[in-house]
Amino acid sequence: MNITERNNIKIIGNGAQTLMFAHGFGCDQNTWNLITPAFSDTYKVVLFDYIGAGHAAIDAYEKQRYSNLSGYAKDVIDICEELQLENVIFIGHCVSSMIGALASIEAPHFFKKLIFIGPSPRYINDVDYYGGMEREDLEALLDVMDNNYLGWSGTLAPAVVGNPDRPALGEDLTKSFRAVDLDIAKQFARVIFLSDHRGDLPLIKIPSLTIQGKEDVLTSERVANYIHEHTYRNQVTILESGGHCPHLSDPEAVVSAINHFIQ
Amino acid sequence: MSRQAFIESNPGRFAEITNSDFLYQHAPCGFISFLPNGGILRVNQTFAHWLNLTEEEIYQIKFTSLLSKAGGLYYEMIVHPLLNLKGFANEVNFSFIHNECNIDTLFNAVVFKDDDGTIIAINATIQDITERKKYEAELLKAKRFAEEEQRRFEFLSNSVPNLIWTALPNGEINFLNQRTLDYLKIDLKDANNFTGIYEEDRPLFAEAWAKSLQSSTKLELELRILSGDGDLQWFFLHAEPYHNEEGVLELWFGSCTNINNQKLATLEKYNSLENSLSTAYKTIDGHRERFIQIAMNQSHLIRKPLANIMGLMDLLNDTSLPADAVELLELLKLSADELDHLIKDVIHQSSDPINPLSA
Repeated sequence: MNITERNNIKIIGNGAQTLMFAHGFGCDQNTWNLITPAFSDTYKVVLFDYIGAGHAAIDAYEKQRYSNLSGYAKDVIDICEELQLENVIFIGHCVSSMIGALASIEAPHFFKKLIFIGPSPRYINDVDYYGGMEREDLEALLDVMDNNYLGWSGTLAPAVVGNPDRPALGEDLTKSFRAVDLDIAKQFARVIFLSDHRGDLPLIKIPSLTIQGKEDVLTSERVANYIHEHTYRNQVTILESGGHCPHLSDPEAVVSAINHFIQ
Repeated sequence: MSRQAFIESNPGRFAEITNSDFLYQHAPCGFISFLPNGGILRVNQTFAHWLNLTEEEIYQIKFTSLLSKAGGLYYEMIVHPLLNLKGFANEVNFSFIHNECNIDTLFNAVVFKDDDGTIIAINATIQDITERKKYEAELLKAKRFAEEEQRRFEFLSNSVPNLIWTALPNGEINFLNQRTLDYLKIDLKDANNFTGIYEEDRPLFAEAWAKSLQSSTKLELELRILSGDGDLQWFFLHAEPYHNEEGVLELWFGSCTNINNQKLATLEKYNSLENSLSTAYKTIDGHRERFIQIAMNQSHLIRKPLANIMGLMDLLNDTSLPADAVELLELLKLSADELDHLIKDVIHQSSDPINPLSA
């Protein structure tokens, strides 16, 4: 199976500059639907799904490989190699911010700039560090995911298909959902919320931008400032209106922030 | 009472009951309208009552603040993006926790958009499923217990020094412990090719396995298994059918115990015994041939004077002898014939290839 199939890679536009958009937890590449139209005319937009999300090949899931964010970063590098990309501007939402950072540290020759939307190098509070969550919050979140197993498959499937005009597609996909999907999602949640990549921030050698919503319940301005203080050439843009998904709730502001940073 | 009769006799009541605002406020479910940023626009009395708050108090709170922290995270990470992408979300289980209130609910929401497609607000219904949730919690507990049991089985199976496997009633291998995967260097999906079993032993195993599957009887077999490193070792394979309380075959539990050292020692002993027997047979054969030779030689040596005696008796018989001598000669002849037969028997039996010593 090639990487294009494995990660359900989609390419829009044929500009000289590549923008790679990486979705966050609980979403797939459709999460960028309100953003990509602003860039597809002038850039080459690369979209993909992580294993366990969207239309990525679920059979390619390896528990060991994806037991930490490095496994997902390796996927990003695989995609760059497969598409022979260079000077990529990587835009990651939520956990993808750190995944992109790790990929840029591991294979800096592929990347030019990084854009983090709602990032966090560590979600769980620590001594002298505010991440916003306690360990119990993670366990409670996993409980909520368990409680919403049926909802997980039922509500996510149509979004995965990305074709609300043809809900039958979503119904078919819902039927094909298996417990493993939830298991992978829960494992992903554990990996995300137990990760600690504060030590990797100083290793990022390319310019980066943090876009942080003021209303974000998952991360916060404090976390954005922590990243700013510990990362070489990092800028911060705070969005007044944005929650955890400002690219959905305030796409114009996100497009504007991205444009300002990359032009 | 018919509908028409009720309306005619209680026009005021009918108007009150079916009044949309009455329905909104007193419906047996909660209604909430809130802004994309979580600011609450309106709730019905049912929901306010559940939360033990006045409507005015609720309007000071953001929607996610009514949820448990984990629920708020789930809303932000999963439900909110879905509402943006799809415009609705169905049957999401949220716990509303505020003050003394703690209710489990099913949350159904649709978005309200303006002409540009921008989300202006979210309208949601909330159904109290607290009691039902207690039952579901028990089910979830049982599910987790089963999952924990599975993990324990896997841990146990990985901690014993055997190759452990399970198969479905149709024989399809559905679990290999880590030791097996490491030893064979294969994936579970390749297990049903039985490529780990040494090629020469595979037909024997396939036949025995098929018989066991057909008869639901245990399988025990000694066979050779080829490791992923090319190391060939003897194993004792044991498979036993597991039947549930209803007596239905649910699973096959199998193990392969390494018996390579014992087997090789046994084979060595067997070879040694075979060599000893071979030597013994050679010795016996040598002795037998010598015996035959001796018997033949001695028989001929004895038979030669006997033949002379018998010839002389024939000559005597042709002479005239007194009557008592004739009688004695006859007796002598009978004894000579008997001795001749005896010698012939010895010669015959000595040359018998099956058993030269048997009488």
